[in-house]
Amino acid sequence: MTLNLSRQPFVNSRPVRRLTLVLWGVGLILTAANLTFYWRYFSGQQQRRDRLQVVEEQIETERASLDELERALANTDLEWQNRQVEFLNHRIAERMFPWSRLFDRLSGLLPADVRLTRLRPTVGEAVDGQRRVRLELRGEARDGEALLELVDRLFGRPAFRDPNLLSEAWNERRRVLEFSLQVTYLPDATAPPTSAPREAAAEASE
Amino acid sequence: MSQSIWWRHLRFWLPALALVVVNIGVLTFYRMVYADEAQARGRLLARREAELAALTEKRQGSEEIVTAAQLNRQRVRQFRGQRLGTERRRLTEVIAEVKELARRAGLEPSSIRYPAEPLTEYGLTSRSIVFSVDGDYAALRRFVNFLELSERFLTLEEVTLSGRQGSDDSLRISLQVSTLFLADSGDAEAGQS
Repeated sequence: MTLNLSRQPFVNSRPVRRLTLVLWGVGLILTAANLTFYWRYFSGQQQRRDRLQVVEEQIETERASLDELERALANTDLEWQNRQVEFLNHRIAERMFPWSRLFDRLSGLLPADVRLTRLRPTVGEAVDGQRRVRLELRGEARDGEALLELVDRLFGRPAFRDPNLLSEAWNERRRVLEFSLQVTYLPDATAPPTSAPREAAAEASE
Repeated sequence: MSQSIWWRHLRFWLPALALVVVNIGVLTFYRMVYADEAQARGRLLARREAELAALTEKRQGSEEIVTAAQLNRQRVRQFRGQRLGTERRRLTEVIAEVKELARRAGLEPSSIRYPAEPLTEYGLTSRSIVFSVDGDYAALRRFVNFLELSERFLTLEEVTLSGRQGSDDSLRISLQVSTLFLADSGDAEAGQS
């Protein structure tokens, strides 16, 4: 048998096939992408619309609640109420002032030749959670040395801060040195663990 | 020859080309119209959500203030009702209590003054009980201790001491104790608080 090639001439159809394949491939990919985009858009759009509606409703609810709260606050005289609470807290702090502890501390502190004649605490603002009391002291000392010893001891105790000697006057008739001083008293102060031995012993005696 | 082969395979590649062209058109339309709209809607939603978050935060802050104010009001009312009272109701009881505590401590008040200070702003009256006694330091400590333990709202304001002539232990002790009363008009004010 003889094959006659001239009856079936050679035609190179490969470029056409390849381009066709490429076009179909690109077309299908674009279709898939478009479907995804549009599906996302339309379904997401609905979700966003629903979410927006929910958010709008919540905003309205919040605004209504806020208006109501602001009306309630406007009806309350907060400034006056705060002043009153502050005043009452101050009076309660004065009521709770530990006088017995102060007497204990002072009796361990006073030199033998000094005695107090007047004691007036004024409760002040707490600093770092620690109550602070301004203490006005008046007293009598046998001489100036005894008075200075008292001031030194006040400086040495953690429960007392910033002693301020205001005045001293020699009473010739009674032969005593009358003095007045102010000191900041910290009722809740405790002795530091690493104080000097003399001070630690003194503090322990309190 | 070449034209003839493209022509002959037209039914294969032309639909594919049409598909590509149509899809490109659809994609371009999406980018020009819907993508911007979706972004704008997304931005609007984000803005509204931010507004909602701010409002929620503000509402929570206001709620906390209102709750704290209500709690304060309740506590103040409770304190005024339980611990304070009008002078008409409590003055004699308070004076009797201070005298009794002094007596139990071993101190006998010889003279007593009762200065009062009206605290109009708070609907209260501050009443002091100022008295002098003769006694020793131990009796003073007992009295201070009794005051500290007392259920009544009694505050020791000031202590003044002086030695008695010809005596080593005995002291002249002046004490100022104070307490608060609801002013008569303070009852109405307590209602306001």
